[in-house]
Amino acid sequence: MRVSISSILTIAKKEIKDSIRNRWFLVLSSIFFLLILQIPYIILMLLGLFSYENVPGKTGIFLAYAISLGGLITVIVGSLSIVSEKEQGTLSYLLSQPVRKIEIIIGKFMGLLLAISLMMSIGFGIAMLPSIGEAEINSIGLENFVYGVVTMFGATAVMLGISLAISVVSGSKTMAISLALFIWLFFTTIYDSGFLGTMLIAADETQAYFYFIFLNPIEISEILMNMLLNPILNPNLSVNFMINYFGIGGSFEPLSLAILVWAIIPLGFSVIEFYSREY
Amino acid sequence: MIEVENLSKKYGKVKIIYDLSFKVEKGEVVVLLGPNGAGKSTLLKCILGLVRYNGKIRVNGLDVKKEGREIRRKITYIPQQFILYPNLTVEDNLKFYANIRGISQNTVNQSIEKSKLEHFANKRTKELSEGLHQRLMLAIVSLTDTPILLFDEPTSNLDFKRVLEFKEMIKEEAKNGKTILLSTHLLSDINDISEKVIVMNNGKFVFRGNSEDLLKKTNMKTDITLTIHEELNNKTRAKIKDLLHKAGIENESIKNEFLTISTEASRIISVLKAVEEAGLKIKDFRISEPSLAKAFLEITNESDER
Repeated sequence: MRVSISSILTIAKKEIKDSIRNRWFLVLSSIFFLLILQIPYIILMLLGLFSYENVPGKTGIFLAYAISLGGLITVIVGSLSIVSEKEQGTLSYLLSQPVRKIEIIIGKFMGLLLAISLMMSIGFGIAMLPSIGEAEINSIGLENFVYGVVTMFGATAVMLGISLAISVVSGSKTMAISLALFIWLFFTTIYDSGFLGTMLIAADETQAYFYFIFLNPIEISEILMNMLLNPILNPNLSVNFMINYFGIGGSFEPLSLAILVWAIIPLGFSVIEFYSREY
Repeated sequence: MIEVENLSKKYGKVKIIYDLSFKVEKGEVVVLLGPNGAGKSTLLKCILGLVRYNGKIRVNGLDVKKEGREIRRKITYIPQQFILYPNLTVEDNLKFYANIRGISQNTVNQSIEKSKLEHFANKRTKELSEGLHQRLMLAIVSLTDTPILLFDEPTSNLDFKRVLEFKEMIKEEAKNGKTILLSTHLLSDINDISEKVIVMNNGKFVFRGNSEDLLKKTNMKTDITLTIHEELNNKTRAKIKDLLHKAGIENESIKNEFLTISTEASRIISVLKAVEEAGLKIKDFRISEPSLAKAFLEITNESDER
């Protein structure tokens, strides 16, 4: 089976244009940019709780929220991508063109990943803007900062893969959004509470439960980001716990590999499911 | 050319298409007629290789199961629903479908110009009126120059003017030697454009031929209504009845000055002769041809009962 790169790029390009002009995408992006990165920071500064120093370290405080909200934007946009085309009738027409289903999924994945990553980069870039040239950003190291940004794109890829799978299996937009929100809530809140509870009950056998962290891609990304950017505080208890376990500046490989696996499996599932369904 | 052999299709446990075989020759226009749910759209989707099926479908000699992508290059499919991306502009919609098929920007520009969409090129499609939507859809469809055209209920969303334009377009494409398969539940679509009609109901073909054959198959009668100058008395009634029966016409009804006869179109002359022989003077004469709609209903009801 030969895959056409030009078809993938055409679909990816269309997805970027479609996302940029999509009202919901713009609204969610604005929330991401303003609420998470700017408004809390400015408010805390105005309250005198933070000085205008060590911006990257302080931005790290919001990383947990940034990854969570980035995940929310991703699951909403991704979960609607196939199902809305199915509802508006464009999918039947697209499938009647000389394109393969795998090209549609990969094209959509690439386009949406680029659009969301671009939006996140702008948000983070602006948040970091005041500290450019300052000593604090140099203390993190450019390499770690870039690794952190790539990790965030990785988390986006994971959530996008999951949401595309949701979009393929859902019969309607309502069902897709509901499933996507549940998955997001599960990874950001429910799993965390359950994980902490289990560890408290397990007491001495805690170490065996560390591996359960690999079942939550959002948590993996948060741990990795915190290890890389070394924030002064993270509000997420289980993340703090895991950072102590892995250690700041510890081994990034197992966590990075877990993100990669998490990105590939749902995407592969989306392709297989898309082929098995008839439109 | 489209060749379908022993095609059957199931959605879960429900059988949608039962063992169909037919051919659409190169340059032929075939209308696939049937009520909603007859299996027409599924049949078209099978030809495009969009759904799994049992049996064989070959398009221009290529097996749909093995060479779906290559076949879709040779086919233009026009679905029932809108095919536009609402957030994209008119030009972006056209460019997207053109790029998928490797069509040049020049062709896109020509299509915009030909469809008189220049002033709307940078407008999002969701901001367009219904008429402009239709114009853009036709522009997208006409981007491609494929030898085979598949239409799924093409006129169901069109206004009267567009239906006429569409029929002209079909005639033009047929003249250019295109192979056309058109599914519809509207009998008005048959008139003017079809050479061959296939009537489908509950996943089966219930009729194949042209519209005249369809009327013949259902044995539909022509209604002749004669208005006689004076009210018919019992003696004249008996006489005309006798003459009509002698001419082999049984189905008559006489009320006041009206004489209504239901018979084959070929017997109209015999009816007129019988009336003349009876010495009746005709004031008015009306013929109601059997309607295709009636024939369609009769044939599909018949197949429902089977």
